[in-house]
Amino acid sequence: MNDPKRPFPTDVKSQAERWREETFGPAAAGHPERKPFVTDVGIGIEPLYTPADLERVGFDYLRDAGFPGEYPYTRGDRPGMNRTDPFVVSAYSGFGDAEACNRRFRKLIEIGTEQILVALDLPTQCGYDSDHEMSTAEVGQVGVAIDTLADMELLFEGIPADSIKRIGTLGNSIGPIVLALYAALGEKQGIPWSRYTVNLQNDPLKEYIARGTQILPPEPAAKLATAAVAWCVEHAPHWSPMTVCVNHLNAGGAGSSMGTAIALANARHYLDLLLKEGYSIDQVAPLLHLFPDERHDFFVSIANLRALRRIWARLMKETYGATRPEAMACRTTVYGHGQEALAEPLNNIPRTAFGTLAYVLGGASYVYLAGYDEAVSTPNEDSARVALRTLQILAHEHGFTDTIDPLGGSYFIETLTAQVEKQVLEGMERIERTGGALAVIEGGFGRQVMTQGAVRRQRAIDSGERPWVTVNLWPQKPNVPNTAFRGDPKATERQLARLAQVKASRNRVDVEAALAEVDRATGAGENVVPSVLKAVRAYATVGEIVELWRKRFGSFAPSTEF
Amino acid sequence: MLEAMPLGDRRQIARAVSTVENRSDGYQSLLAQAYRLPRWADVIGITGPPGTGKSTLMDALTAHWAAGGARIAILAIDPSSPYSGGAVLGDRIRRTRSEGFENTYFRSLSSRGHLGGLTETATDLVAVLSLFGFQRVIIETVGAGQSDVEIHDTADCTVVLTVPGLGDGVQASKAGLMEIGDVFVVNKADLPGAEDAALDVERALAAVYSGQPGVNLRRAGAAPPAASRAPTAGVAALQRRHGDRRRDDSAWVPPVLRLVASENRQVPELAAAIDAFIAWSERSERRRRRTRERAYAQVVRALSAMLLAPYSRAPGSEEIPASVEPWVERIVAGAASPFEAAQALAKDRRLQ
Amino acid sequence: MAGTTANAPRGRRIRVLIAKIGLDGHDVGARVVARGLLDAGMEVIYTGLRRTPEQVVRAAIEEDVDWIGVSTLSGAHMTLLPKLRRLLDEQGASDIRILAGGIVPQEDVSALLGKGVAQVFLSGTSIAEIVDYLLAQTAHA
Repeated sequence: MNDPKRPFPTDVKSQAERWREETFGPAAAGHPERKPFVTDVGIGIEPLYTPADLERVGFDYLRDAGFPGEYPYTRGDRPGMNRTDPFVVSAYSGFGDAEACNRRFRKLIEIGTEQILVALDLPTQCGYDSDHEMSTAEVGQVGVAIDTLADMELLFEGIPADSIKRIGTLGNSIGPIVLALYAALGEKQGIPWSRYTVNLQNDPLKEYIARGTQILPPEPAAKLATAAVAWCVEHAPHWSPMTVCVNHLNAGGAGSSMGTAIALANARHYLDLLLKEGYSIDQVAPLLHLFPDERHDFFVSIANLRALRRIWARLMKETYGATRPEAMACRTTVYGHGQEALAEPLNNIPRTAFGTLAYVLGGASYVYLAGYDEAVSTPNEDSARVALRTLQILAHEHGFTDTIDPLGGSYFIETLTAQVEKQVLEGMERIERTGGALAVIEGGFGRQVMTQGAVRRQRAIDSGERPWVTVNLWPQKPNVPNTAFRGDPKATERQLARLAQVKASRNRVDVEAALAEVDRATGAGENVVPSVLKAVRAYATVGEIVELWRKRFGSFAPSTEF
Repeated sequence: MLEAMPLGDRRQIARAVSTVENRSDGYQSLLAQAYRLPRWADVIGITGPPGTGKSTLMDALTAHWAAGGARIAILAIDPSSPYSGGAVLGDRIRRTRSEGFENTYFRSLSSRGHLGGLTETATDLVAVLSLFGFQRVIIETVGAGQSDVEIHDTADCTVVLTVPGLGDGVQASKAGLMEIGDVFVVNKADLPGAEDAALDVERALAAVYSGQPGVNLRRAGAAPPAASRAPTAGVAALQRRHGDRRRDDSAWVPPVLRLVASENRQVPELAAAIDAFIAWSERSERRRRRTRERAYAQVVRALSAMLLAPYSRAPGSEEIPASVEPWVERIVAGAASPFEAAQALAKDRRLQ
Repeated sequence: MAGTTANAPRGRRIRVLIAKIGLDGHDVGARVVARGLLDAGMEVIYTGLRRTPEQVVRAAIEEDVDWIGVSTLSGAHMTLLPKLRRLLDEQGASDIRILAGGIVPQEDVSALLGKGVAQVFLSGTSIAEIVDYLLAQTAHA
């Protein structure tokens, strides 16, 4: 019988068991299981969730869920969340040269984009100028070519830095340089740093195992990345100079739980470096954002965001002794995907919409959405617009954003949140035993996890265990449409011409002096951002600055671990 | 005697390597030519547990010798899958510095499925590479298991690698690597624990060797040892390889070097130690002994291959050859023993 | 000689060089394919990231591979793949064939096939299909 002292009726459990055996069982027996009900992260999904499951995972509302904007921030990192302040509608965009890109940016802003993250081409990301031999055939392909401040000025011509909520870029292996470029941009436009907000990804550690644009060995790379954070603490504490990523780790095969564990280990590595420099956790933690990712299972995605916030809060408070809410509340950026396929690209619109909806329901603050052709190429104008509109629809229609954490309290979601949390914590422990973030990279553990996961996923698709419409269900031939975005071949020519022009007209003496100062500061272990900022103002190129670091620290030598 | 072929035709070299590796048509005549060479390439074996930086070290050593004008070849051996026989051979990733030299050649090799075994295949490849004028062949193995010990037994100099922080500093000893090392290296010596790792190895060596690292001449006037306990098999093997200062003119005590391969630090010193060992090996007749052993082993192998050919399975086949099938049936039925079968077959055997 | 099939002396195994040319750093697809080929009994040599066409050609020749599988995701394929073919032909390796894998727009596919690429496998192609192709198309298999 019900015991008034216990919050949950104890006979729910036996009733649920009865239902399972006597009602559901016979009904299910008539149908062979249409697929294994196991999520990509390996958590099995029950036919039904009840209060008995909450009891099983030891759910305590006040301790585990609480309230938005209050420890442990499970239900939301800010008090109002989407209710008062809907997520920031964001676009990741860039291609060709600054001139071509500027036009696209203006279009995006016109139709309501609130944040633009600039996609840089591979040469820029890898620290090569457009005229370097390694840049052949790659200038302006996957992003815009940025060689000097002149390109930035052109890129944002007619777009004041404070005209939208946030501007930024990835710059994972060139963090201090892109930070300096964005700081110098404001100077050129006459807008003080306090009046605009810059957002950088600047997370080199994940590159080594998941994205591949690393330049230097991991230790100096991490140190340079934290220099950007430290500078912001002093000069622009409202900026977001670092977004620690799960995205690429999950995409590469790690799965969202293990990917989160690795990302948190990376975040800890950066934080520890900053603490060693003498900063306090309350100063630096607020400047780090997280970039979760789960694109296979809708509900796991929601659970992952909630578990992440809870884990981060406890980690900051209990391990690092944080006291400020901003340090303990984990702000998240997300990039909406689904299981995009190459056949019938328009199907990717609902896929990405659903994937993004999970993030919105999970409480992400900054939301991007993949173009329907993104699996194929840089989004064309049409797909960029559809992505934007989808975000706006998610923000304003259907009531998705009317209440905070709408699925909180659901038997399914709270159980799943606890299960995901457990997986992530176990992953974090395993990484600690392996030796931490650097060991994950250098010991090959990270790559092993990714390859194993990727192979497992491929097998699940090939066997049909993971259904994929137009791939293993109603299969269609993959087709990369000819409407795939094509860069303007003239753009490369223009870029090279512009680079040559800038190099010819800048003050050589100033540049040499500035570069020498960067080299000196780097060698002396000082924060490099002030000297990089001077160099950038003098129109030093990205490649010239990176070359100093390459010479000093050497290039990264990859593990032979496959 | 053959003149070394020009290095220019890399394709020809690669093709010859494949021919010998796969025992394709023409491999025997290639090998026959190799056996007419006055001298084969020096074989340098590099081994050690995973994560010790073998590939980087190999790349650095190759670059070092190639820069001096020598022709250097590398055989990087990676394990094959025991299930499918396939392999992913990833050591090439580390070929950065040495790639810039025209006078280097890099070949990846899987560990399983070679006719005659891995060691023999490696030996044959050294022969073929010698034909093309390579002066040194560096063989890199994973350093776990019997096949590694076997291969390195045939090397002219074996370098055993370890790194700080592998837990037990002499993990190498567990894989039988202590017995085959002519030079020991603690790589990544810039990491904490490097000195400890080096001392661990030195201590283990001191238990067996006496003298200074490198060449030790017999002390003039020293009396030969009184009759004492016979050495254990392990120690006897070591003495055959490195000499016994009491009996021989000189003996070798493996040095323990500390280096940072990724920064090319102390790599020239390693190269010098390898050169010193090879020179000593030659003076002390060990090289000659090894060459004779090699020739003997090759004769025995060629002979067995020839004698066993009528009874061997075709590559990839799972069927028992018709020549042996009836005997297998009888043995399985309990009507004969394998030894009777062998005797009968030997009697019936037709020689080529 | 007795033993498992894996240890049994084999005829020539199919050798495939998997290459990443240019700056693109996503190699998960390449690694998944490599594993698939390994499971099918082939030998896969991986070049690592950021290789130039010259380096890939040298590797292909030294390793005497049957195929070069180039993973291409960043759109630079129209320049880099024909260059690879040309260098191979110039160095007497016309019999080493090139496969492209990843993201290639439809109209580029026919252009590439015309420029010396034997086959293009778009992202998402099953491993079985790639293995079957190699088994069917390799001369000595």
